[in-house]
Amino acid sequence: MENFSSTIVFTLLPLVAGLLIFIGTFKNNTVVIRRFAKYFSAFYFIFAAFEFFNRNTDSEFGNVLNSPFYIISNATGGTSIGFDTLGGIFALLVSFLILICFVIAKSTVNSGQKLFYSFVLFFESAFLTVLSTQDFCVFSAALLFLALCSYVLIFNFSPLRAKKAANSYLTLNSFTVFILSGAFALVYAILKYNNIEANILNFAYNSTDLSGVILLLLFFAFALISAIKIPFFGFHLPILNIIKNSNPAIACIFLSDFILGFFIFIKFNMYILKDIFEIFAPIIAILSIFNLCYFAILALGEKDLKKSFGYFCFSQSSIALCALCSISIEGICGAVLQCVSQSLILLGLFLCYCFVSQIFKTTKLPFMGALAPYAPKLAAFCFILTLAGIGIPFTSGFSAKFLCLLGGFSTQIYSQNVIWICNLFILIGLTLGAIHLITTFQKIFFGTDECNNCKISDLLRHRTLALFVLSICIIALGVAPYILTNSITKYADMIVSLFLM
Amino acid sequence: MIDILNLVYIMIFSPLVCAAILMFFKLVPVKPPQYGNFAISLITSIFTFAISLLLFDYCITYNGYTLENNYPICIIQNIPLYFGVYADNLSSIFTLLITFLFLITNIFSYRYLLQNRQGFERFYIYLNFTQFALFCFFISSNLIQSVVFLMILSLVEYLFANFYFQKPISQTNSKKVFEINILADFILLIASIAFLYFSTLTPDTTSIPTLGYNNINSLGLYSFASLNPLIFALICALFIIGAIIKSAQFPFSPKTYLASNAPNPVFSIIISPLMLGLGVFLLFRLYPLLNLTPAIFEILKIAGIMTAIFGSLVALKENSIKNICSWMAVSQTGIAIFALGFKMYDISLFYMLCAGFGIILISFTLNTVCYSTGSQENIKFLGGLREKLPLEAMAFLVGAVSVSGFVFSGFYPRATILGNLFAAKNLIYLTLLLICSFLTAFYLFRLYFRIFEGDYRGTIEPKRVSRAMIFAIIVLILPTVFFGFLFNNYANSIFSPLEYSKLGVSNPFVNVFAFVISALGYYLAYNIYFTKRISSIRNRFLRRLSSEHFYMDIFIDFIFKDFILFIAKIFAFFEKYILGFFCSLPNLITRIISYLTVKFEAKNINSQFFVSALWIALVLILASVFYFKTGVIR
Repeated sequence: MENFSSTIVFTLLPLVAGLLIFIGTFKNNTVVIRRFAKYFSAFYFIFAAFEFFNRNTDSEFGNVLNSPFYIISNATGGTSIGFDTLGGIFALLVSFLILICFVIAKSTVNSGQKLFYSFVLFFESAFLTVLSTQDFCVFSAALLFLALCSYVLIFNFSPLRAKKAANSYLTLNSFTVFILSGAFALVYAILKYNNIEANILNFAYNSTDLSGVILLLLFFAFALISAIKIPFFGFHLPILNIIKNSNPAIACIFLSDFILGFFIFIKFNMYILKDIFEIFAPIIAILSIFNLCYFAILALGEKDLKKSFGYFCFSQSSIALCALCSISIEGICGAVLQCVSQSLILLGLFLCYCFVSQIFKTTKLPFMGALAPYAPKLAAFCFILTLAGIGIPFTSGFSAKFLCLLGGFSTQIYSQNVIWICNLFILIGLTLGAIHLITTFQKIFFGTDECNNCKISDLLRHRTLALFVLSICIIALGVAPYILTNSITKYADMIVSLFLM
Repeated sequence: MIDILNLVYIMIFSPLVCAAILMFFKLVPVKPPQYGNFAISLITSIFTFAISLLLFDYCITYNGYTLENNYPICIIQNIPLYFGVYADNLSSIFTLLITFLFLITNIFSYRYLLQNRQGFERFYIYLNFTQFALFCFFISSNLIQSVVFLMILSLVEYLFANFYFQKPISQTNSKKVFEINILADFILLIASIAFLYFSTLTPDTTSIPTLGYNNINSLGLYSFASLNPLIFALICALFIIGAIIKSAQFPFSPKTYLASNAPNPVFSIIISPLMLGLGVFLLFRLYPLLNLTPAIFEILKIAGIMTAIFGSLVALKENSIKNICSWMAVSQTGIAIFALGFKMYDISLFYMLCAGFGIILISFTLNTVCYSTGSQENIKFLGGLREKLPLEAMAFLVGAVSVSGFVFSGFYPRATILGNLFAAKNLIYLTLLLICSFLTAFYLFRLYFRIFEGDYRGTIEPKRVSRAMIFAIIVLILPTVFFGFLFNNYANSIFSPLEYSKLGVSNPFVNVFAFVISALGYYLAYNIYFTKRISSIRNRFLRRLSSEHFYMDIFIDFIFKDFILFIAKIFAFFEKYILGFFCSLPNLITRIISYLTVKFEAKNINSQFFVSALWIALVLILASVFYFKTGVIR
């Protein structure tokens, strides 16, 4: 299958599946709906993985740029779609996260299954569209649709407290999408004025000819989206509230948003707006190091389990951002690996923490303790995930952090003194993260016995399966990180070569 | 025919296979009999011991030849990472020590574990996994592999320290141990990655394996030549700081006693030169690199001697057997590091091994005492055990005189260090080391007199010790007595491949003086704790410092907990009130505007009142502008 047609199929399949559920094909039979969504996701993921590894060499970003131009609509100046390597990896990752969430949803989504499964599939479709499209309008529309889907899911499947957070998150997301649409309109007008067909590809080709002010505007628009999605210091409160009140089954929503933030940052801020990025890279690097330490410290001081987990998530994302700012092949590969590894580890940890909260009927850490003898399986999985989060060898956390640190040293654009100072701060951040994870693990599973009034049960079978699969993936990426890094090397090389020119 | 290389690989992986088998039996419903775990583990230890003997023999026979092999496991961004074997004399000695110690631990621990029957399978799984990780570290062919297995060993130490996870003290302490270890690991990781990158910048990029120990000399020279000297010194300093933390040197010495909640036989491994010497071994391997920046060795000297003296002083005040053992081990490792600080490479190694055998013997002997007295660890409730446990008393004496440097193995390296310091006219350090000898003799004989002499002060009648335990102790006496003599006589054949081998000559005058100083320590302990002719010396200042562990615990708590929590509170305040306010500001403004708009639409606002309010605001703004511009209105 051509990249174009396969992309169309891949982006539209979840939408079709979601619509099938939404229009009531399965007559509100929850078991059938759940099984359909689960098996569809499993099939979809396997098929996508097969396609990706089969065609990986042909789907570099450069090849997408050079691929024949498929005109869908003349009104928008024509469009071309296709997954580049980065998009492919992230698409696979998101479909995997959604599959895991569908497995978990069996015992966590007890009502409104029709709405849940259909909207998660719509979300997936919108996400893949954002990853693959090269059209301004489709991109903005998909981004807005994505924000709407996440709003519906968070609003309907979280406790009452999360609804306010969902509102503010939607407001922020829509605000940035509107700003981005305005910026796109400007680029569209300029390209049209110069008789160039207006789309992201041509924007990438001609970005150097645009004036600095417009590029700066665009850079800030994209940076704002990334800052909200990843998230950055100052923009983290809405997503923190969502994490704090989130249902385990919709963990895929905020994790997908992290991934989308990285994708937009790498593709637009780094690749297309490279001239501006080169100026702002040191500032972003310093801010990410600040983020890393700031959130790690907050995570350590926080007594609410899910809130401290949220801070830890933000802290981990900063490592990848830092590595990206090094503008080296190792750094970019490390950042992508860290992004993938972090998503898997964080999903696993979040699921464990949610199960723990369900057992103790609270999210407050001081009221938890001594769970290990009652739930040994949960303790074992949580320990593996904790170790991976810390970065113990033979887990994906170690490989990712190793490459990120190596990328930091191999940068060509900063002086050695700056690199050393940055790396020492990263050392502090990593150590703080490790202390946070081990402290949380100890508080939950050891410590004083708080299991008097709690609903003691070990992992159910489908939960065990989900955590087992996640653990296997984490260990596989830790033992053989080249599964991922080999595919991304060419892409990273392409980006770095732009800066070296 | 299987060659030695294959045998070495079999030796490395057989404990892992054993751990996997035991794990399998733990997970499946069909359980083997209790001695089954022990038998499988024992057979593995005997097997690995035999191979390590062969390896040692091979290395000594083909003197100067290094057994080397590398197996590429993955390539990350053109950087191949290898799993390999680099068996020179140094690693073959340590391999022999690992297998010997694990064999002894296996023999010793069966009866010990039967005492409370808790975590029987878990113990043997951890034990075999530890052995595998230690093999991988000590026979590692490259720096990356070493750092990876250092991290694994940190995990293992945590698991052992938290073996009895129901005890609150065990949970708290194991967490601290892990935190200290992980800090060291990350420091070493960053230093290794920096060295990896800077060494691959050099023209010799095709060196195989990556950061291999076979090539460390030339890699060091290339890096030294191509790098800013300050950066190079920083890399070396990070290696040294990481190694110091890993080897529990000042101010991270409490790391060892915090791990004392581990099962007793394993605690002996934790305080042995294998676990405490991890950092020192890494420094041995990186010696060619560190040798290029001589100033950096000052850190080792200062950290080493401070640990040696502070460790001894703390051991004087402690009453728990395990704590005394851990401070003794830390103090002796401090002396080895101190010797390394003077670039006495071979003596440092020699000292670590000789003192190590003494420490292991003392530790195992005290384990039998604990076993016999029903886990009584406080020396205040022990005494007069020489009659009940004569062999143990004798073994303890052998260990004590060896570690104090009177005779046996401990004598040779200490005499050489003192001789070299005297020859270099380094009298300050010589005096400090003599003080350390005095203190060592004093606290070891204090321990002896409190446990084995006088009247028994405990409540539980001491029971007989099993034969297996006695056998283990007898076996341990042999190296404690003879190892120093053999090593001293055959040092040339052991050290000849090393460029830095120079044992030096001991000075008879210094030896006699050191003997007298140590004897004074013994004499003082004898008079205070046996004949009781002298009441114990009470220096309030020193007692306070010793009981507070020279504020090392407080320092560790401060950097890992209190300081971070203090900063976290400030950040949380900022997050809640300042950032929270700014985040809600757009929402607030929108609400106010919408409220006013609605009121206007409904004509509910008294327009006269609103206009007046606007006028007042305008006047206020103008007045403030006027004030800031001229400063007239006051």
